[in-house]
Amino acid sequence: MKEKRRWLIGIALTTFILTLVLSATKRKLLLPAHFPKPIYDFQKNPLSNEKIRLGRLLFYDPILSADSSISCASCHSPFNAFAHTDHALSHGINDRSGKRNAPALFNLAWQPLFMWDGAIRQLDQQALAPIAHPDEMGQDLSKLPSKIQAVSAYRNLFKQAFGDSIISLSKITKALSAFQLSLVSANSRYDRVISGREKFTAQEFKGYTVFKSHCNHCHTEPLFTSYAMKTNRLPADRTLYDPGAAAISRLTEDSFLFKVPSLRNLSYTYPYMHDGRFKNLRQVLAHYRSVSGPGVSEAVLPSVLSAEEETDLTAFLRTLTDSAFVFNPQNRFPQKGFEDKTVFSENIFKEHR
Amino acid sequence: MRPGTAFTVLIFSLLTVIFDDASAQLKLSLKLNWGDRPLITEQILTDTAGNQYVFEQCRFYISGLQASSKSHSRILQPDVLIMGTEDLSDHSWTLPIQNIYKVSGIIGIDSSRQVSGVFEGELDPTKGMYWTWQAGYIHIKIEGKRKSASGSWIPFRYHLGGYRSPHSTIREWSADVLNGEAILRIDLMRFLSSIPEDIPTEVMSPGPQAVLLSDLFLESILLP
Repeated sequence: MKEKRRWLIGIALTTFILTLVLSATKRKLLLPAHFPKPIYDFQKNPLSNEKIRLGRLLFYDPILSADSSISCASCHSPFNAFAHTDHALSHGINDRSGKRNAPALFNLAWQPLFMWDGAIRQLDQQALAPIAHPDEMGQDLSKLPSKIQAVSAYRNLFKQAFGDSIISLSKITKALSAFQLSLVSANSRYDRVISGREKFTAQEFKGYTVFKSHCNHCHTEPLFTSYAMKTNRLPADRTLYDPGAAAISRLTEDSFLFKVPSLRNLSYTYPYMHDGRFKNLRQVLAHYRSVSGPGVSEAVLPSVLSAEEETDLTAFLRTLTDSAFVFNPQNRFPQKGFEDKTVFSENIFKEHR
Repeated sequence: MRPGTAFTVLIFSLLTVIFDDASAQLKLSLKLNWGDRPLITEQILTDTAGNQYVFEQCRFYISGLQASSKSHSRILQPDVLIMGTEDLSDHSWTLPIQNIYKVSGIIGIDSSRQVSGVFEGELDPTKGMYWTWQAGYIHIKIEGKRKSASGSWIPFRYHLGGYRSPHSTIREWSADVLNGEAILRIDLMRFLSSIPEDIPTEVMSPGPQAVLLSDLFLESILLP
């Protein structure tokens, strides 16, 4: 009898320990003290190391595109703060071009609107847009779960992240979100100054003053965007003719409204604007000077901004560069996940790389 | 509490449990009509004005399904269903609710669920009733072709959706329960015949035309 009880206790303890070991490891998002409360609902998609790892693999894996040639990272490079500098417009399967400049990806837990036209209002749902778009990844969504399900390594990874290996769009997008949510950029010189660890130079401080007077209304600190839909009076591109938010709402008053992008990491995220028309910051500032005047969006530079003030402003904007984020190896292509033949079989590796 | 009162409460509670557990058959059926006849897909159909159509598919979401008795209402589970011509026949469900006189809900998906993530089940985007480019559900999908005056067949595709004002296509719907059955009967001849001439044959994004067509779809629901 005693022997039997000992066995039962042993089995129960082993089961308990295995459950602890095998269950996903909870992970909390880094929440910078000077940031507002995030708006992403983590209760619906709790973060775990396993989910972030899976999301990172999916983000870098071209399996998400129709011909397995384009991954999310093809247009969102870690070395450009997850923007894209090789092309003004997103580059899709079969060398197709999209209509818009791939935006940078960071601090997404605070972002209420996605896409330049603000069409999408929830991060998990956002991923489906480029995956399904014929000029981007062109993947038939109804076939994507089974395509990934066929890869045994992914079945294991989904089991580790979600507790079962049945792959669905819901789980794919939750994993992608988990990785993207982990991309927090809050270690720029600006952040170190705000948290009292460093001080601005005199020039940076003067630039900060110019920024607060003329830019902060739309590019509101500390995220350096209000996420509002605004027009900046860019003339419509005659080949793209992109009406912005009006394409979604069909309302005239939404014509040429685009989501205000964050200015964080702007040293890495060129070219600028929704269609990538400006290659450098000088061109952007010149544009804002040219459109200043009554009736324009609040945030425009006065045409009388002196060359010195412009230089000061540029010096301040450079303090928004977070090199630690851009060069964080944790965010890069997961070499181990793809090259370790115990994770991905050789055939699958060849097929998808 | 006195023993007599406690006994009465106990009996009342037991009766309530028994009453709640008693699962009556409640049937929710879809009947797609062409006039007063059942709709047949992939065959030439003629409306009262002599126009000819071939119907390929009609699918739509109903959600927020709720059953009401005289004293209270209950949300049905699941409360989201895709209905339509996929199996060329009626759809029906058995629900563990009794004394219900009305079933109600909306045609479409409520605005809250439209922006709450990627779901599984009936709301899975793989069902083909979802727009990825604006993260919203296609509430009603109707496809087929119509014979033109010149004799050629012109395809029509109406993918109707939109949850934001002023172009919301979410519409409330209810049906009486008679003899344990609620019937959602839709006359697609009435729907197609009532579409104004200036509406294009392809409406596949939210906007004023989708609003108008959704209203016409609602008007094509026949009362018992």
